[in-house]
Order: sequence, then C-alpha cells, then structure tokens
Amino acid sequence: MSNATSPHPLPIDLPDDFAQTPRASHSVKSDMPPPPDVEPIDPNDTRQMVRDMPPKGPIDAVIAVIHFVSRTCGVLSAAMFAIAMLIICQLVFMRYVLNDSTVWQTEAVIFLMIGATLVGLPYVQLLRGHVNVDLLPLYLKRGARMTLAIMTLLLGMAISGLFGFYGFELVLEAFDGGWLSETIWAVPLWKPFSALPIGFGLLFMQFFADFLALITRRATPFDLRHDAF
Amino acid sequence: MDPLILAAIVGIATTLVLFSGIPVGIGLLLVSVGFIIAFDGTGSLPLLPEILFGKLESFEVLAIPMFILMGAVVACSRAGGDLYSVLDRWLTRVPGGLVISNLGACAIFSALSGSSPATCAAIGKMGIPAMRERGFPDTVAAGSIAAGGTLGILIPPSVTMIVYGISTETSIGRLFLAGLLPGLLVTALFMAWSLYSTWRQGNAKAALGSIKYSWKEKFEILPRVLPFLVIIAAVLFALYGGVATPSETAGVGALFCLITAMIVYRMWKPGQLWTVMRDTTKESVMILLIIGAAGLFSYMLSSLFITQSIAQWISELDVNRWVLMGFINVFLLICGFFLPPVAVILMSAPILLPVIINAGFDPYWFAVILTINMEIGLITPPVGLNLYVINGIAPDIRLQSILRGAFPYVLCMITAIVILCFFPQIATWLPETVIGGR
Amino acid sequence: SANAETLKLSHQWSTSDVRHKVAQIIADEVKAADVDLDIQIFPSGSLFKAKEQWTPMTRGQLDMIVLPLAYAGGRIPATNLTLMPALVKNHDHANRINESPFMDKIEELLNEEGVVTVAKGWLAGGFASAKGCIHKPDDVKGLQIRAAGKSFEQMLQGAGASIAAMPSSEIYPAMQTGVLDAANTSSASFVSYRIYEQVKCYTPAAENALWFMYQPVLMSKKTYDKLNDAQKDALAAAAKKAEAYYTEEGRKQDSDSVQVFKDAGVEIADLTDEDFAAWQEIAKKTSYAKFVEETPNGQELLDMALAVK
Ligand code: NA
Ligand code: NA
Repeated sequence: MSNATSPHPLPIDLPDDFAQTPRASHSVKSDMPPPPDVEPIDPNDTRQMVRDMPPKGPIDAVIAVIHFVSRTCGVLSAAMFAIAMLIICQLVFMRYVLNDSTVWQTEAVIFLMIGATLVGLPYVQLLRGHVNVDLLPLYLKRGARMTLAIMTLLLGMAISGLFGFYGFELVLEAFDGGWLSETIWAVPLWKPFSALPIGFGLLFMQFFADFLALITRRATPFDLRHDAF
Repeated sequence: MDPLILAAIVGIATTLVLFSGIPVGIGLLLVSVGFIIAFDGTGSLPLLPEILFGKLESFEVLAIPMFILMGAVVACSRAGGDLYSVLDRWLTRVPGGLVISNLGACAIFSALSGSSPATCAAIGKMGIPAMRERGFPDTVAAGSIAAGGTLGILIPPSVTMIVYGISTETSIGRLFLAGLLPGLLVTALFMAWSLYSTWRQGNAKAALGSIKYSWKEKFEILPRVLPFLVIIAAVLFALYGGVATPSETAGVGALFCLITAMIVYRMWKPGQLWTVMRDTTKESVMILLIIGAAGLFSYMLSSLFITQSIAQWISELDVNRWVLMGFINVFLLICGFFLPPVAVILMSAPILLPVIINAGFDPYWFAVILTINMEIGLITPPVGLNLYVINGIAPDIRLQSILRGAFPYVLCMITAIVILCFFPQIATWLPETVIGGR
Repeated sequence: SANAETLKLSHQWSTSDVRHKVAQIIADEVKAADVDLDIQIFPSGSLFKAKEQWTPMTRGQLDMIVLPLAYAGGRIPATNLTLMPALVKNHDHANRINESPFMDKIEELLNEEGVVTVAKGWLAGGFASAKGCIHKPDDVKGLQIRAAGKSFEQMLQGAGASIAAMPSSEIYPAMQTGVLDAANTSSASFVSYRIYEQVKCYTPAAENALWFMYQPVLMSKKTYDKLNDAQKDALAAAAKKAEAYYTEEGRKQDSDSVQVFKDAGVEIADLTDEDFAAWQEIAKKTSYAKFVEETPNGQELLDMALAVK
C-alpha cells in the first residue's frame, strides 16, 4: 500500500462531475480494478495527446491507428450489449405479455454477449480495464520492471495471437462444414465464431501498440510513474 | 506424475504468472495453454477457442452484463447522493443517525448494484464529507463506507453469486435469496460497531445526531428516489416471485433504470449515455474474459485430473467438518487478499463444492460464506478495491486511517461467518420458505 | 494393470443418471476383461460441456462420449432424425430401428466424421400440461409450451402452440408462475424436476410415443482404430451388456414416471393410433419438411427411417 501520501488521488468518475468532464475515465465500478496504488497514466490523456498533437512519426501513426481501431471496437461492443438488453426486453414482452413464441431471442442475446466480450477485448486493454495484480512490478527496480513489462506484453501477444489464429481456423472449419446452431433459428456458426479471430486479433494489435509505446519510451512499464514505490 | 504434485506445480505457476502484472484473464489463459501443451501436447490447441466460446455460451452468464448495466446507470446518476440525503433527513433523530443512514444507503444501493465499488463510490461521495463535517472520526467515516460498499456483492443482486451459480450449477434465484438475510445481518453488525466506536471515542453529539429536518424537507426529497425504489421492488418481485429468470429480470431492469434515469435525472445526452455504456463495457468485458479464461483453466485442471484428485484428497483427509470449513475459509481469505472475487470463485468453486456437499454443508449457505470472504478481500490490503475507492473520494484521509477504520469491519464479517456457522438457517431459511425444499 | 491405455469418457449427466450407469458398465466390464484398457469417466460436464464434446471427439482429443446424437445436428444434419417427432413409436420399435439399414446409414455418416458407435440406446419422454390433456394437435393450440428439440418446436408451432425455449430445469418455476402451460421433456426429467406438482394431465411415452431421443455411447474413430483386437472384443462385449441395461432402464423410467404422476393425482392420457397419426401428419408438414429441405439426401434418409416397421 504505497500511495498513502500520494499527491495524485485516484480520479473517480462520479455522477455530479461527468457533465463537466465527460471524458473522465477511471470508473471504479469494477470488482477488480487495476490496483491504483500509483497513478496510472490516464488513457484518455494519451488519447487527448494523440488527438491534439498530429502524429510525429511512423510509430505514432501506427499507435494512433491501432488505438482508433480499439476505440471503434469499444463502440461496437457497447452497442452489442445495448442491443442484447433490448432483445431481452423484446423476449420478455413476447413471452410474458403477448404469450407468443420466443425461439430465436435466447440464442441471439447469447451470441451478442459473446461477440461484445471478444470484440471489446482490445478496447478494454486500451483503457487498462483488464484487472491485474501489479504488486511485483511495484516492488521491482526500473530495469527489472521494464523487463517484466516487456515479457508480459510479449506473452499477452502470444496468447492473443494463438487464440486469434486457431479462432480463425475454427471459423473456416465451421464455414466449410456448414455448421449450424442446433435451434430452429439455425445460425451458421462461423458468424458468431468470427468474434474469436476478430477480438483476439485486434487484442494482439493493441498489445503490439502497447509494446511499441513501451520500448520507444512513450509509455512507462505497467504505466507506473518512474518514481513509483 | 501424481496429480497432487501436479496440482502444486499448477498452483505455483499460476501464482507466479498472476503476480507478474499480466491481466488476470490473459494470465489464466497462459497457464492453461502452458499446461495443456506440456501434458496433452499441441494437438489440443485448436480446440481451445471453441472451449472458451462455449464457457460463455449460456443464458445465465448474460445476467452479469445486464446487472452491471443496471448498476452503471444508477451509479452514473445522482441516485446515490439522493438516497443518502433521503435517509439522512429521515433518520437524523436516530442515535448515530448519519452513520446509520450511510450504511443503510449502502445496503439499499446494494440491492440495485451487483458490484461493491459502485456502491462504495455512489454513497461515499456524499456520505464521507457529511460525516466528517459533523464530527465523526475519519476512521469511522472512511471505514464504514468502505465496509458498507462490500454489501454490494452480498445483498442481491450480486455478480459473484451469479458466477457461483454458473460454476456450480446451483439456482441463481435461490443464491440471491440466501444472501439477503446474511446481508442484513452484516449490515446490522456494521451499524452496531459504528455506533459503539463513535460512542467510545466520546463524540456523543455526532452519535446522537443534531440537525433537525422539517416534515416538508423530509417529504419533498422522496420523489427523487421513489422511481429507483419502485424498480428495486419490481426487480425483487420478479426475481423472487419466480416471474422471470435473473437474466430476463436484469435486462428489463436495466432498460427501466435507463428510462428512469433519462426522465428523472435528465440523462439523455449522448455523452452521458456513453459514459454508462463505456463503464458497462469495461467492467463486463473484463469479468466475462475472466469467466471464459477461468473456464478454460478448470478444463485444464479437470483434463489433468487435478480437480478430481484434490477433491478426493480433501475428502479422504478425515478431519472434523468444521476444521475443514476453517481451512477452506483461511484458503479463501488468502485468495481474496490478492485476487478479484470472480476469479477466486471460478477457480475454487468447482473443486470445493463436491467437498462441501460431501461434508454435509449446504451449497447455498456456502455461497454466502464464500461471498463474505470475498467481501473481506475488498477492504484488506494489498489488493482491496474499496480502499482505493475511498482514497479517491477522500484523498485527505490518510490510507492508514482508512485501513484502521476498515479493520473492525473485517472482524464484523468474521463474526458474521461464525454466526452463520452456528445458525446456517439465516442463509437457508428464506430460500426454503420462498422456493421450497430442494 | 499399470501400463493400461486410459480413455477419457465425457458426458453431461450426474452419476445417478442412467446414462452414467451405462458408461460405468462399459468401463467396469472392459476393466474386468483385463485387456489393458481403462476408461475414466468425467461426469456432469466436468471435462467438456455437452455441446463442446463433438469437435474434440472427431479429432481424437476425447476418446468417448455419451451424447444425444441430435446435438451434432448442426454439423451432421442427418442426425436430426434421431430426435424427430412421431418417428419412433415405442421401445420395441426403437430396437428394430437400431438394427435397420437406416441406422447403418447413420453409422456410415458418423464414421466419415471420425466417430464410431459403441452402444446404442434411446430414451423416451412425453407431454405434461397444466391446462388439460394433450391427445391431439388441437390440444396444444394457444398453449405456451416448452419443447425438447427443434423439430418438436417446429411441429408444436405448426399445431398452433407458442414456443418458450428454456432448459428443463426452468419448467417447474415457469409453470408455477403460469408463464408456461405445458412442457415436453424426458420421462426422467419429468420426475426429477417434480413437474407432477404443477400439471393436470400427463401424456407419457407408452405404446404410441411421440418423443424418442437417441443417446448412444460414441468413440473417436482415431481411438478405436488404435485398439487391438482383444480390446475391441472386450469393448463389444461390454457394450452388449450396457445396451441391455439401457433399454431395460429406459422402459422402467417411462413406467415409473407414470406411477409417480398417478400417485400425485395427475390424470394420465394415452395416445391412440389415430392420435399418433394426426401428430405425424403435422410433423410431415413441419419438421419433416424442414428436415428434407436442409439435409442433403434428406428425403431418402427420412424414407429409410419411416420404412422401419
Ligand atoms: Na447487490
Ligand atoms: Na484484499
């Protein structure tokens, strides 16, 4: 617990403020946040920076493009969650009010939720919303912390690459085999499966952008301040 | 290799990987893939994306993003502050009115939000400054809100209960019911401690409450929270009346909350709605990735016969069932110190549940015990989310004060666990009465 | 023995379920045969969830499963015939189907996908309604009903019912609150979920049953091809024993369920030959037609199945 006297309090996204600061980003509604012992770099500041300052070089351009794609994924993911909510309401209305058949809704909302989750992966990585335990990084010295950060990003790339690659294979297999879901709706399975390669593929790209930013010193290891701890 | 030795190796590897600072979901995928390659070869790799997909392919899981959406709507509105104000105006003459109304507001807010930090932030924003202004010690002000926030995952709806229900194939509606009375018990213990500590520190004036509100003031504020109370009532009715499944209830509840917030709090600007959706997406994707990854992790454990061996080993230990329960609690507490509740539940529940049932414990009662353990983890270092939330709301309260203030509430929760061990009916009575025996 | 080959068998049911016991018989018999073959059972979906089992089977990553074959319907459309309304009349008929050219054809298709059948078995089910007895298609008109399997949903929809898709565990609460009027599921599920507390009339699987589901024990072809002759023989002998138990238990589940519903004071409805024909007429227009439409050689397969008398 190192931030007892931290001069940077955790910025919290609270109701009354958001009208003035609609971009305040650190929501703390998660059960598992990034342990904010030390002020992480606000991704929105980074975003702001990217927006305010035109790309300086090819690396900035690459990072900016990847971030743009990740944010687009965020919007898509949010839209899918919202549509899922609306379809559930439609299902409830059909089943409980109109007493009508509900055969496709259940499957539709499940696939939407999975799609939202997978496609949302890069966006949540951009926001640093994937919870981690960064005790060890905090205790490490700068050099070792850098090494560990590079390792975790490379491993993250390996895992997302692996799931992206075999996910793509699965899509092809489902497409060639004409696999259908086992309901009346009979959705061709390659469609929902394609969220796997898209989500993990773009997560790979987001990890890659983080990696680029890290090794070119555009970002700090684990987004910790240099004097952290 | 002996599965138990293998289990130890997996345990150590998982700890190392998760402590590296890698995202928990990715870390679990990494460990699973590593052990699958090491012991099953690369032939299984092409199956993994489909297994991950399958772990999420369930209508029950859908309740999680929907309850998160519902909580996000309420947390992004002024409802938390309003709820606090209402209770303050009505409870001001009750001894220790302010701390009581804060904990009460936490408990009520919990009934809408499946998550603890949301509860903590929504009520603490107004509650902590008010308590300090009226002379409550910093420790009580910060500690009571940090602890009150943990009620979010005990008082239904609760994201952790949904996850437990999915991973153990127990009824989510029943789990919710089981959490209700223990939630009130914990709330009562919190209140009792708050009053006692305020009184002991010699601040009788604060403890007794001093500001008077006129009846006009008391009534004019009611309409502010009425819509949300109606939604809470509707959600509870739908859940416990068995009218609809949790996912259906949550989806409709989320839409109702959204419409209510748009009308009552004028949250209709795209920017405001995006804040709600962004927070929902961020938290949902994070939790759902952990669910999928933990599913793959448990596939790896089961495939290497580790799950079955550990369960068998524990059941052959031949210890008193309460000693066993004690060890399980210590184990869960330690996990909860470091790991997010959802990950702890997903990784441990499939292993522990057969042991629990074998030892004659009720799985619904155990869900409550498990959840209280996870609540403790939220207000203990090193990874205690609610502590950080409080630190963000009230940066001038020293973290030591928050920690010192929160610690007695940890003891309250341990007391609650002990009480629940002696009187398991507190958890089992309500579901048995409402739904009937199993 | 110490260096025995260990096969992984996965299924979705609890250890008290008949399908687990069938798997257990095979495992025990094979072990007793002492041919260096062990079968390790992963019950309750503890290894793979029900619908995740197929791909690993076909690739030889999973050795054996007990599976409602219709679960593979999205990949091998022909298997949809193994959960088709009014196709199997009763257990005797099911046994004749097991030995028919139709089943040989199914086996051929499975082999192509890398799967072989070890033991065959069918379980039956019926209908229960809170509104009145279900004899004829007209009896379900306007009812909110839960059906087990998409071809049953198609048929019931064709008969004018509203379909509510939900797992069988949800039937009881849904009926309790009046969301659901009637349900179709297996005899065992009717009893284990205590549906008899919620309904007025039960249409069990008897002489004329509408709902039969084929749930064989399957093995990955890759695994099977690796077995030596002694192991294959032991497996075949074990399967024979398991099949006998399977069909006997299947019949027993049906008659037990009737007794339980009777004891609970629920009216019992039996389907006459005319009722059965009326249902089959609806099925022909709905689920059969749909099947033929979406399956290569669908008509030929359907005719083969219907040809078994
Ligand atoms: Na809650
Ligand atoms: Na903790």
